[in-house]
Amino acid sequence: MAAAVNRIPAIGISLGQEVSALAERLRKSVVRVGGMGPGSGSGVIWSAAGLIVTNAHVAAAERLHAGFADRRRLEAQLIARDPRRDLALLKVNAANLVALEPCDLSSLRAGEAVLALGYPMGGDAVTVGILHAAPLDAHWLTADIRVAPGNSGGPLCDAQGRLVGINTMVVDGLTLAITVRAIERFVARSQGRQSHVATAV
Amino acid sequence: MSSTLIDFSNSLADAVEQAGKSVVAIVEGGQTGVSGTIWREGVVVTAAHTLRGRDEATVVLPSGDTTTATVAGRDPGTDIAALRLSAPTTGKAQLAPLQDLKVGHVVLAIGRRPKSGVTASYGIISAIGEGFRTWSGGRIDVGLRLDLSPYRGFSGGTLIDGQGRVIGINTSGPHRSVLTIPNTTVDRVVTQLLEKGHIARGYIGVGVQPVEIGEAMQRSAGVKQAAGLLLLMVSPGGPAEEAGLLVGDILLTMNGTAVSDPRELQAALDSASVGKQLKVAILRGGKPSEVTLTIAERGR
Repeated sequence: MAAAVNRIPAIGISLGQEVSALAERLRKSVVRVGGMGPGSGSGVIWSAAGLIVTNAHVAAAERLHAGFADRRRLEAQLIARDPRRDLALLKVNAANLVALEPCDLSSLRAGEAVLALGYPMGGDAVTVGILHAAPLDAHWLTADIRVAPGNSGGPLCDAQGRLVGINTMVVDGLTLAITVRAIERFVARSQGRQSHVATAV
Repeated sequence: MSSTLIDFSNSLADAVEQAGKSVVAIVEGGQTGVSGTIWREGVVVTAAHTLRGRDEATVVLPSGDTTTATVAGRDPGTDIAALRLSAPTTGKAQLAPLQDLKVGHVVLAIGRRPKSGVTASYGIISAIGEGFRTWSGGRIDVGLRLDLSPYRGFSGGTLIDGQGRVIGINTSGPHRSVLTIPNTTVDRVVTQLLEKGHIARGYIGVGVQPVEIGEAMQRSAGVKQAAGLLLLMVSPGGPAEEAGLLVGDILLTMNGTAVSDPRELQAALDSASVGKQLKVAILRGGKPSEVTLTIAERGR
């Protein structure tokens, strides 16, 4: 009789490979947002033409930079900042950036797998967790996923890599993210203002 | 698009949805409410400590309807309380066979909040140990250690496996950990709570401390036991006093089994022991002796 061979089930291997491939693809749409001094956060590329969304508390410095996965570092202009909703819109001088596809929030279910990408503690990182509850409130959603300072402003994505929200804070061990719906509204408002107000701070 | 990651994600969400059908929200527990589990038809189980002595609770069912429930009984030993719902319910917990559990298995802690609906956190089983006794005397059949974050309101909810089957009821453990009362324990406790309203525990009316029995003493008394339990207290009117036991006696065996740890005594006095005879061997003044006593039920 042939000796039994211990094998790790293929599902575990392909799960790891897929998370790594998905993270690789999503990384192109994540930037490191920083000012001149220490302390930085993350941001999400919102449009191919150079719009970047992050948290207001990340975009607090006077002069901001966005660091890309391909190691480019560009100056970022602050288009709008809403401290109450903790959102900020930046613009970099670049074209052909890769924006993330937004997720349909109404289809989300508690327990779904989610990925967080960003620059916690300075380095880029990906973590995997689940959605804690279906998003009821259009502004916030909660996830059971490990994030750290520096993840702020970075994307929370579903298993297909669609943007669910941006990671903003940790409360009682759960990650609170601002939903893509709230970001859409904020960007629409900010761009409407853009024509007559250069910066809204 | 199909992939292992998407399948994995969908199966987790399916498991949460399935298990969520038997998880309710209990409005008054804690600051933001706690969870409860429909264990049998019309019976909700929750973590006893969250009730804080109340005899009634407002329950939000998976359907979103609100109803009331009356406490049928609580067991501080296992932190399990059983409540009878005033409205009929459908859906009850589907139990996972505990013998199939392995370290590394994916588990989810399911709860419910009145407004946000079903809630979940994700983790794995990090260790499976033997049964143990809680400090308050409850017998837990399987010791489960989890790599899983507790969250506000998770107490009284369920721990499920990847298929949505209930492994047990979650409550707060030490150091911000999750303690899962396994489904066999919950089932046993719930049956007794519904029958009697409480968990009977045996009582003989003694306070004990482990002591060594030196070799010289062993030789002179003709016993082969290096330790026993010294009686520090014999309660007036208790079974031990009635059987003639005195402070200073050293307990050696119970029904022929050596005892040297108070937990062994506690284990022998479980709910099945009430009313039964207990034959104990003792050392009194260095001389062996034997008495028989009848185990009473501990007052509440």
